[in-house]
Amino acid sequence: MFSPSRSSTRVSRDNDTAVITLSMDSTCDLCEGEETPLCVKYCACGARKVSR
Amino acid sequence: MKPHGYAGRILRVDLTEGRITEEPTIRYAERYVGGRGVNARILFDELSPSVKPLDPENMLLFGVGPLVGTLSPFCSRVSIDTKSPFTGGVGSANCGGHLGAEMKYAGYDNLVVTGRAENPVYLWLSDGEAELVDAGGLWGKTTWDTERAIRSSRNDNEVRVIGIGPAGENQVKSACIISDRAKAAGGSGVGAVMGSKNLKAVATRGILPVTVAEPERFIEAVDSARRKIEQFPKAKLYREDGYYGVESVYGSPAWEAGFRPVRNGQDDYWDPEKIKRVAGDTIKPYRKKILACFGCPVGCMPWMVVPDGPYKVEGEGWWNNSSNSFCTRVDCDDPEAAIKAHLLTNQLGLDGDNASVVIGWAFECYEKGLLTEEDTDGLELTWGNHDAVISLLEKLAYREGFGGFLADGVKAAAERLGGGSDEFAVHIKGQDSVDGIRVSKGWGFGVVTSPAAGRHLRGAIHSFSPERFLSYDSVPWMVYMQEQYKAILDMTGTCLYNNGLLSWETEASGHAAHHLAELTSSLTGMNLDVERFTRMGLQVHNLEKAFNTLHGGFTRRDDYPPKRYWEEPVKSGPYAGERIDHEKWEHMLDEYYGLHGWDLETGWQTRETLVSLGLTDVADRLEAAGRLP
Ligand code: SF4
Repeated sequence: MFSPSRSSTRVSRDNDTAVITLSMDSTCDLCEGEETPLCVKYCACGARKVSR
Repeated sequence: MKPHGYAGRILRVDLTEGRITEEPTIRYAERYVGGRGVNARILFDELSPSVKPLDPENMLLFGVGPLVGTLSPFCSRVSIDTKSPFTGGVGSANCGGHLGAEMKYAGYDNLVVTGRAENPVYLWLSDGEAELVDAGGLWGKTTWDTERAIRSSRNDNEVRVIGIGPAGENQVKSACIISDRAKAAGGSGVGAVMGSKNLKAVATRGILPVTVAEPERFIEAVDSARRKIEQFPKAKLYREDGYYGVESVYGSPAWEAGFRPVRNGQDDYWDPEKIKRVAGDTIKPYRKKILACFGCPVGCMPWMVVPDGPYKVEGEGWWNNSSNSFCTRVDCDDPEAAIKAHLLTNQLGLDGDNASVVIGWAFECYEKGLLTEEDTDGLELTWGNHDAVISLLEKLAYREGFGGFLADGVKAAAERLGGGSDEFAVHIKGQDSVDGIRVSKGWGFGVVTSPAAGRHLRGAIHSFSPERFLSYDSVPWMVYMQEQYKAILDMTGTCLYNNGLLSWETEASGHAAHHLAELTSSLTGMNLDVERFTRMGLQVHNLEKAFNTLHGGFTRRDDYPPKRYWEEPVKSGPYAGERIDHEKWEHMLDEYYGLHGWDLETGWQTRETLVSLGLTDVADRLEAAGRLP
């Protein structure tokens, strides 16, 4: 299922400046149990990374 | 239960009555999938030929396909369909951005808008609720200010807005509908229709889910499509250069091979020194960022900044055609003025392709002495006068002075002016057409035969090698195939570049169709293979063709190129002398109609063909109107 209500992260863009902001809420557990967080694996632009 | 892959609902809005109703998407989805497919069926079924494009009874449909809002690559597109004020036939436009996904998360696959609101309104969609909101305070605003105002009033910077600017409000025929401030659903006068309804915008926000029929198979299909895209060397160029990087992608033929008509199509070849002043490397420093639509693994949207000077501006946009519309067509080689002109069209809600045709025509009338400064509000319309272009864009959008004379398109303007100006009024089926068609035969044939009239986003063939684009061979077959692939892209909500990146050449588009069939099947649970899917594409194409026959009265005669391109050869450059061979064009039409199973003499569909496509009811309507051969 694709559901923004279940997402722990948000990407938004300021259309006046083209500045892109990524935010995460406290429900994000980096997809515990997965080798890579799914949002990183499936980020269409390959922009998301995890730095531990 | 709502079907997998869909929001599940079609929203119907009667603006005259202020009535909002819903119906299940599944009623149409099984046969027409979504997006343009569903729009085309509803439009054909429900719109009477007696309704004029700017009458309240005309319909304006927005549709997203099942892949929109999922992980499927390039799944951002919204199809907008109506009866075109240019042609009286089908009007069809399409844009990317983030609106489509948000509309789906808000709970709707398609919107069917009819009627005319007494006062300006915008449509607010959120989590399964729809509401008409007073837009009196938005009327008169640019598309950028409209988005700012709606976001601010909702206190939410992630609201997605699609709407019209002053051009649409004033029912200028070249008005488009702009999403996310930059993505233009251009052509077919869709913005004028929206303006005629007093509908300023559609704004959406939602968090409703889209379910998947077979999640593992779908993820596998996504991975497979993405691997294919990654392997494609041109994907990297798109990503690094943005859309104007098409020069790196296509190479010099994009300039030389007649894709960008010069001085209103007097020639198809531009002075190389001028090209240098507006080509990729000159434009590149103005591009500060590359942006992407929802779910796009490539990103082709440049964020342009002209930091100071008279053309100071900042915003998203500059496409391949910008250097056609605001450079070659009017012989302007100032990159900053051209960027300004492009971003101004986004703000005013003008389609640059359409608008630049009537402006280019006015310049040529001025050159020939058919117009003087007395007619043009004092503007000197000499080739290369980019300030005059910018002024005319403003005047056009507001129907101010000479802009009002141009606002109904080049055909109407030439009819009013006379003096032989129709000889160089470049339109196809009545719609201003920006595309060059004399050199690349596959591109030209696709543009001219498009049901959306003179637009390249139907059957036009994307081939950039001279041995291919000069040839008439196989053109009808390639256009016929490309029409079907483009239809399934629009039915699923996928960007055309997906087609290009997965396969590129038209013959190989079957690979892209294979990926789309697998993605759509695993998402929705429909059992689609390439053959079934492309046949559905053919049905949609035939619905639009039938709409054109019924409403626009088009015949074979309307599948001829505009007079200028039919009569005049290219004047200079490597393809000097290149022209459309009349006999070969007729042969192409015969072959193309034959492939479709249409009548060679009239160009109309036959009962046999329509019945074989499961469109018996369409044949019945055409017969009742005396439009079956
Ligand atoms: S290729 Fe460009 S237009 Fe197409 S989805 Fe990506 S960013 Fe949007």
